[in-house]
Amino acid sequence: MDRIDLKVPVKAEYVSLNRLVSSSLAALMGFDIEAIDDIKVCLGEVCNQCIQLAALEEEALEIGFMRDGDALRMEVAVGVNDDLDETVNNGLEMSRLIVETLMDDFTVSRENGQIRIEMSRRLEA
Amino acid sequence: MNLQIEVKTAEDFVQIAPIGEIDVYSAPTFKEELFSVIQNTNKNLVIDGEKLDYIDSTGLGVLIGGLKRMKEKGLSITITGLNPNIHKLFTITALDKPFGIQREA
Repeated sequence: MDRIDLKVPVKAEYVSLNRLVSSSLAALMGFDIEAIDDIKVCLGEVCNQCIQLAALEEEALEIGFMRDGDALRMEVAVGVNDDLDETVNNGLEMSRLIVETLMDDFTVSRENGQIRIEMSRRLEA
Repeated sequence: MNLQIEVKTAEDFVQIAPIGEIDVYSAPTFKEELFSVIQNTNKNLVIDGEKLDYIDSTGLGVLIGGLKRMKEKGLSITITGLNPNIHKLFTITALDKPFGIQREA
């Protein structure tokens, strides 16, 4: 498995850069144009979610791209406050709906003060 | 920022054409322009999506806010020319229903 890691400032201006990495890797793996667009959209949405959930003092999103056989797996993690405002969390429903629909797998976990969002998309046979 | 916004006023409507990407970074700029147009018009709004390359949920949220303001004035928003991948996002989020969406071949 090949893995690429990025550590990117928690700033909206860098989300387009993250999307570019996802679409470039998806193209390299042979995904078709529609799937590449789906992957780019979902990586952007997950970065948006993490930026909104990030603790104020948090400096970086940790983004991992994994080329795992016929699957592209991506994960984004960021530190959050213990008293994460659930109203902020609930406001992300539309974003999550998009990712759940377009990706094959999508999970959100929280441990050690971090939110970690993982998702994957497989090449169609 | 990878977004330009063109505004044209016709006899019956005002057209806004976002060119490029509406994402978490550029959405505030789009919001400011859209809400300014809405505040200053009594005509229906057409959003020309032909040159819109990308929109995320932040941008969709701005459109929802715009539609709400237009409905309060008894006016509508029609969206035209969306590419299939962007139209898919409107379908997934069920926003194809409240907006008048005209797909072009």
